[in-house]
Amino acid sequence: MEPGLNEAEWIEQARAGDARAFRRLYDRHVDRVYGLAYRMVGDDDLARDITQEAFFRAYTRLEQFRGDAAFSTWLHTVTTSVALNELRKVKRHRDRERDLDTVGPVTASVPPSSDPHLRDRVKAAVESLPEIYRTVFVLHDVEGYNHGEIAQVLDVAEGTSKARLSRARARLRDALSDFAPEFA
Amino acid sequence: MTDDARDWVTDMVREHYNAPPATPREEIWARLEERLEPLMEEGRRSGDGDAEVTPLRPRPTRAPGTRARVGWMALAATAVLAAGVGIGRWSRGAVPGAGPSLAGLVEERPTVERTRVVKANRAAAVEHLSRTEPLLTLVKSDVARGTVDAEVGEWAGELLGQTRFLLDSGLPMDPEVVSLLEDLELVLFQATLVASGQVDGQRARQEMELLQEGLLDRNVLPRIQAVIPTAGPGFAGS
Repeated sequence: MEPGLNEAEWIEQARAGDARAFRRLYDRHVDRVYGLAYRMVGDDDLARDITQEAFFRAYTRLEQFRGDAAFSTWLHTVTTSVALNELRKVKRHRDRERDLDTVGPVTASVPPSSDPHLRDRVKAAVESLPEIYRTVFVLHDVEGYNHGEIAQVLDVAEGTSKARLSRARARLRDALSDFAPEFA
Repeated sequence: MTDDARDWVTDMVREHYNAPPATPREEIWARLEERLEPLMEEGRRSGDGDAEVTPLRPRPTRAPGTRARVGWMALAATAVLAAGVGIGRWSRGAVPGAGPSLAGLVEERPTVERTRVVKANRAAAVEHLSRTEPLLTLVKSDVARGTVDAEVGEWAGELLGQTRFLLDSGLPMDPEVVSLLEDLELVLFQATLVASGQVDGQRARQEMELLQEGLLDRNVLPRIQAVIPTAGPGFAGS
């Protein structure tokens, strides 16, 4: 089915309180929203919370959606904003708790990998990036957004998105250089 | 798909960084449904009466006399959620021939109900204010250094949008909270402006002075700390 087919109708019906229409929107977009949330936070419970919150906000703000951008782009903007806020909250919480306990990474339920050492190194390298670089990197290189979409989602210029991606990659290449021969 | 050539580091991260499991779509929907039901109910009541819509669940039959009370509880709870996410849909007043709107009910019963609504909206505003406290602490620290970090500025920009949304919602709130939100809006705007680098020289110094004045002279941070509960914020909107 074409992505836009019927979607405008569903949005109108959902605005009028039609649950079935909103459920259709949910079914169409939830995988991408949850996937994005999980990529950003690496924790199933938190990704579920973010997905739920993103759709809740989307419903309550449907009046604001004017169709200037694709519904998916608008929804991913909401998702990214919720995820970033949650990450900041987790970070603040971890900072406060650090002296009281040994705190592990946010990602407690990462799927097993054939090479845990490599996985841990990749994770540490990505999470050591400043948030503004990490977000662009995850959106572009991991989730497949183009710079135009990222510019809309993060409300930055496309050039800014490109610059951040370039810096993120450079830092990651440097941090993971000893694995380069295996992946080159 | 991408604008740039990808390389080995991209492949490595795609394979090893937070690969998502299958989406637990029904579990998420079940929780979402609980939160959406009151809002959708309101949407159906205030919308086009001829429209055919499907409710989330069959509507329970209420005993005579309880409808108004239950309706009010739902309205109050929904007002918290709605204000919490920055929506002011009920503030636009009643649609002719439709069910009661928040504004309409407030006009009809200007004492007890209005007090309840104001309290509910205050709770939503306080939830928002509690999210601004850590940011303002960072801004205050940055101002003392004579600069505002770009990342702090971006965060301030997000909170600025939410603050304006609350202010523009038209939902009844007590004057103390409105005044605090207005002062907060100014501080967040100046923090965003200074951090953005869009102003420089004399203008930048003026904006920094205004920012400092807003934080110190208007006591925005202590006033926020005075109204938020000590337990801190919960998950947004929950």
